Amino acid sequence: MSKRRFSSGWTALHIYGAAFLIFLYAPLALITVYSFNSNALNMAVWTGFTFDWYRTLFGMQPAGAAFDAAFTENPDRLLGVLRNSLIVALSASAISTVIGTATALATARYDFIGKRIYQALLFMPMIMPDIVLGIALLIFFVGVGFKLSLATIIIGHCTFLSSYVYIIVAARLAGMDNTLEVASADLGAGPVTTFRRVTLPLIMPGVIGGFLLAFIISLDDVVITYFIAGVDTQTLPLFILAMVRRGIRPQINALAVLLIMFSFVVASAGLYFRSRRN
Amino acid sequence: MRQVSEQEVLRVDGARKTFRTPESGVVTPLDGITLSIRNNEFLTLLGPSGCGKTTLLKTIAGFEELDEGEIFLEGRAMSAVPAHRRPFNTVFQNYALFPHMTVAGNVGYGLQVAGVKRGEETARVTDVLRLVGLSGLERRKPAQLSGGQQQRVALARALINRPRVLLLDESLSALDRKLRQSMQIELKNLQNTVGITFIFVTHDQEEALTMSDRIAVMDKGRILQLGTPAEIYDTPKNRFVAGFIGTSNIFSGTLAKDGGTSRVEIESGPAIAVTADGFAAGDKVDVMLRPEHFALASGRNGAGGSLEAVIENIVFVGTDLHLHGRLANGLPVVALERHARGAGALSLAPGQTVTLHYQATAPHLMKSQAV
Repeated sequence: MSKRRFSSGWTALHIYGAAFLIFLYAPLALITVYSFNSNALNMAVWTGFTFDWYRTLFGMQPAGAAFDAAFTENPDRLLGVLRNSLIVALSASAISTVIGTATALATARYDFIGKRIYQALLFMPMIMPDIVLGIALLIFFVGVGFKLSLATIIIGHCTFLSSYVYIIVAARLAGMDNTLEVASADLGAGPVTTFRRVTLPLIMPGVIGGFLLAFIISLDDVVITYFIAGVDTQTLPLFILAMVRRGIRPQINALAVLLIMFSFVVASAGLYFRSRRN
Repeated sequence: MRQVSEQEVLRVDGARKTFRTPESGVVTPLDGITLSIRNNEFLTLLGPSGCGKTTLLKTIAGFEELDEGEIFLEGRAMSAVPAHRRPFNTVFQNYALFPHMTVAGNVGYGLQVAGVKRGEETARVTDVLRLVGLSGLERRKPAQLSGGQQQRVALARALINRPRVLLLDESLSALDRKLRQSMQIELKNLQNTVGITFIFVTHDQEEALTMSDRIAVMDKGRILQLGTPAEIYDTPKNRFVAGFIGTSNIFSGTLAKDGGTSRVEIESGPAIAVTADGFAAGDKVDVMLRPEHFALASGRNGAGGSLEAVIENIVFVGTDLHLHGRLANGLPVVALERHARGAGALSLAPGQTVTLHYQATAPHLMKSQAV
């Protein structure tokens, strides 16, 4: 081992690894630094440390003197879109978790005609370009006379989130010994009890992991949401997109940092549950 | 003490099952099986892998359905009863312990599902864990147990429900040899204690002989012979059964009768003196001689016969010596000599020609199987 550590290939691998991580995380680090820069006009020039952008996000008065009211967004509006985003993400990932889990159970435990095709089709929403899915959903909703609203966003998100949940839960089920369910029946448990006491606890890490992944994907989806959100309904990513169109404001950095932190926590929790073994 | 009665507890009647597999086409694991299982007996289903023994166990448990036939528990047809309502419990080959529950949770599961009160459950879990020798391990998870301990948990989990019949699917085969042998004795003792009918599936003939009251030898979805271990060992019905249980010398030949004596004439080989009740001269037969039927010293009473063989190999197995040799016509023969009698004294060596004596009652005649 020690010999290998000093070889040139090993050093190169270390440098490559470090470079890769810097490439991934430098922009995120930069945006975090900018979010504390008091310079409201040119964020690339550091003028001092401030919490002002975080304060104004939540409608508080800025502490700094150099503050231009034109840069503030209406905090009520921000809270409104945040609420929309959370409603969409929570409902869509909850519904998708139920659908995805049920689908995974069906394909793992039963044989039916066309199962292979069915399984292949389940991957389609993930492979298909978002823009195609977005347009397709829009045409569908308009075609059947569905008024675009939060409900259409939730339905739209469910179409592809179910696939993500399915894949994660199916992987978990594949690792589960199905004689455990047989054993449960053998010991006198009916199908419902077996599901509640044996199957569900054993696939729970996959179910929770799938839910959290779906939640994060739903929360930051832009492309599909853009097509199926009504004119008067906006989610947080769409709101940010609209903000950016009018110029990069310092508050965007602060908002981005909050989103990074939130996503990081949820995604870590998801990965943790997904990988957890009994 | 356990009493095996003639009273029937379970009856398999004309069980038939076929299915199609992509690899080997149509498979018939159960080809018309009729079997009566007595109250409190230890019945072993013995056969090579793929003989249908596990399928039979699964259909009794209710995990698989029969195409034809019926299973009766004390006269009640079981086919419409789902697995979770049948008063049978299974000890699975891989134990199938619930990994997310403790030992106590696993063992108490059947009682919880049945709605037994918490206090009674705890008491019965304690009792059954003591019975299988696992007291004090209640709070462990299955992953923290050895293979032998997991096996006992699986046994306790099945026994606690006081099933009418306990089904054991190759339950000892995952254990190492030494543990397996001690578990065989323990399992047998346990059955004597609890007084439950055991149906045990195995491909291990030694296990079957050690534990069973009766053995059903199966092959290709049929029961070839059903009997006590001694019956199966001493009087196998055919070449397959004789070959599957223990070591045997089986010679094919034609029965010849000459006045009061009978003999089997082996093709281009010696004749073996036999007692041939129920067979007619000219019948094609297989004759079986167990290795322990041979003695190097000539018989205590004159009646019997002998075979000349050249020793090729002498295998020392502790208690015995196994003499592997060949008859003049090249057929292999195995004889067993007690070690105590001493190979040294007889100065046996490969290459040597010996005379293997047997008593007239020793050779067992079987109807020749159509090949």
